[in-house]
Amino acid sequence: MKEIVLTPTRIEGHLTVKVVLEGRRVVEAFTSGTMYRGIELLMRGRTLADAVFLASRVCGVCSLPHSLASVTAMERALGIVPPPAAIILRNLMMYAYLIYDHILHCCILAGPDYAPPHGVIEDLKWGEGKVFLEGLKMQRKALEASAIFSGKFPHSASIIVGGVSVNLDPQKLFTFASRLKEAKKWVMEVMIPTFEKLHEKYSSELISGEREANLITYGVLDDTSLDPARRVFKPGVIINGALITTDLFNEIEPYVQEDTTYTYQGRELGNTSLEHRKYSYVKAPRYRGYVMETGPLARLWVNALLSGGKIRVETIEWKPPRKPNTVERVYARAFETAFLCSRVFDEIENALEMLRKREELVTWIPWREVRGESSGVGLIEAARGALKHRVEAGNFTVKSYEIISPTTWNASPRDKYGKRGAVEEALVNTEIQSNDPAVDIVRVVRAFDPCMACAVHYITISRGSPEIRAATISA
Amino acid sequence: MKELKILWLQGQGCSGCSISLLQSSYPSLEEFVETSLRELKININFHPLFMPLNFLDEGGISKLLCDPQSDNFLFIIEGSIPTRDSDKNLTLHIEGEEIPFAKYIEKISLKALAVMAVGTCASFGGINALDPDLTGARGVREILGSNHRSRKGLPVINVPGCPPHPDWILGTLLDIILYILDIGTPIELDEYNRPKRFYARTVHESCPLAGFFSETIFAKKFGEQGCLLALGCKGPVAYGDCPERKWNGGVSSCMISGSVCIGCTEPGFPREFMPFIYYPPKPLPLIFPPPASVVQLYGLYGRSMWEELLKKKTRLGGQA
Repeated sequence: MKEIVLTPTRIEGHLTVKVVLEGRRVVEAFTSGTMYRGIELLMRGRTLADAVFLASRVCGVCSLPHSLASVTAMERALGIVPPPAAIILRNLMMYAYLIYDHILHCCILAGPDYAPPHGVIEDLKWGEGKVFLEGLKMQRKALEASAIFSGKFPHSASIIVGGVSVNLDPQKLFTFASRLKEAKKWVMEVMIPTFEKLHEKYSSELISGEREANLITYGVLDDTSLDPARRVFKPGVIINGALITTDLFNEIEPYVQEDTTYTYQGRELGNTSLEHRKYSYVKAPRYRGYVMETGPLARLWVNALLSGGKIRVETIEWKPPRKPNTVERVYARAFETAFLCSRVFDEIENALEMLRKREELVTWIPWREVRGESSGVGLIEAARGALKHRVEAGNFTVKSYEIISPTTWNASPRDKYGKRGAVEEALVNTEIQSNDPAVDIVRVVRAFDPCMACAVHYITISRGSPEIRAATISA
Repeated sequence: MKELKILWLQGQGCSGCSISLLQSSYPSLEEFVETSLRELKININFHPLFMPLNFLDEGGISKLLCDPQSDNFLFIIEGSIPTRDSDKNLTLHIEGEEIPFAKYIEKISLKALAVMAVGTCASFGGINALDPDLTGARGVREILGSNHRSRKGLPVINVPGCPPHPDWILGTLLDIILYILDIGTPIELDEYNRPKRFYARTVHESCPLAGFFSETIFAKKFGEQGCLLALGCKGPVAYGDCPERKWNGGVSSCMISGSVCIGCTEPGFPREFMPFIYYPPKPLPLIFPPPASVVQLYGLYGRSMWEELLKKKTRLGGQA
């Protein structure tokens, strides 16, 4: 029996991991989100229009989905339906954002795990590999496309309750499309072959991160009807590999419960020993009591089951694996990049169609200040999975605010039944194959693309000690 | 060849400043770190997102610095520093001892050639310091004291913005490096220790919509052409050259995308700048000529009044 405590770098947010090894197998795992900033609390008392700008500051990596989830929640609370042109513009920003985030994660953050000195994929080598260096340029290119409409990234300016402040015009659309064409060419010709190679090499070799196929996704990229069932990525829940529902508002959202048995309450700082009953600032959301995983793998899996068991992008095809594992998580993210790069051109077509109608394009509709109480929820997907923002509003101000971010699902601690969170489940039964066990552990964790919803990144480790002393904070 | 190390630490933040830095196009970050100036090689030794190191083990960051040879480094901090429960909150190991983040920063800053606070959180506390301010979030200068000077005699240099423009970060870094090499001009700072190179003028002064302001054409709703002052734009009272520099490879900026400036480079952000958006729009008095006086009557205060107000309200107290 050997204990290892470490803090992975090159992830978003603050996560400390403790594992217990027996021989070359992980037999026990704890993930501890040790962060608290209290963003939800400081949003109270702000106007709904201002709170969207604060919500974006939850995370600098996925600020756009936070803006969009927040603005959706506000609009629902106010009874506003954003105009069709605004929906299309938000989708364009979102496509480009997702492509950026996936390239950043695949090529810069997680990719080097599989390159020398720990792996064999030379192209992903940190600071030297071809895909690493070109990936840096391409994530920039994709984000430029997103910023054409969002004003800037991180922390978009143009997403405002009631629509967007930016106009849809052909010139912007043209420069947007041109950038994504370049990104698409690179993704299909360089990135996908590299990750196919990685998949081929490691999928049989690496016994890592396997867990049951319990997956959840809220779906993302609305069409102008705003019906969740018509999103590009459909909402859905998979239990043990079977799709049990796709009904977002009646069957998925109402059955999400949060467990706080192992979660610090409020400012209960300091009890950071893992032997202590409470060991994380992350809550434990469960769907009907099941531990769920969220992310690109969940999105692709649900979409594949809804479209005859596979997804095709040009010449490449994706089929659900037997069970989720580390390599499948990494590959799903790469494949989804290709899927997005191809589907974004449909959305550009939609935008062109709208321009062709030559009507005056309204992108923002004014709100009326609603007196009295109301509430709203925004359920979308960030790059790393299902994201929920919920607002209780009164007299146009925020009364209370709640965020459940993707990593809340993935890096949750145990619940009251003692069931481990998804990353913890994935760590258990992982086989240590490298000379340094930390390499294998960090691979499992990073494949989930952890983003502790606003990263406070601090970091102390005492290896072999039972205590995690890195107590930090965030929402 | 001598090596200049860069140590980039994150406090309470969202990594937005790091992501902004990754978006720098010319030079790109990867190009910047390969640069050699005179006999100096620039090397990012620690950055939580941008480094080859896989994970941190015992000794962690301090191992990179405890080496007596290794005090040839610049210290960059992103994110605010918690002062409440600071012994339990954000602690770090140094020479086998566990100390609060604030103490760690004090200790490391003594050895650093220069200390730079990147982003509004690290500069002034930023969004984390918004009431109820649960964690007692503070900026670096407040932790070190406004009289702090680095080994090269530089005060804490603030590069605020939520996020700061990558040019501001790399440009200031370059200025600092040139200063260290004794080949640059002195770094001119304003009273909040922001480099004047980037923060000397208001956002309004370089705003592409400023022409509408002088023609008194004001947008009454979003998506309409015109100056956005009536909808809540804080451009006249926020400092920074972002509208002319533009973001993400120069594709857009807040006002170009039709949205308002929310004053994210200022010590009072976000507290003093809310509501960000005025809707229904605040009616503007039609006085000619419009500048300063309109802004003042309008309730946004003129430049000097604004500075007075900030001195009173911020904890910095306007110390030089």
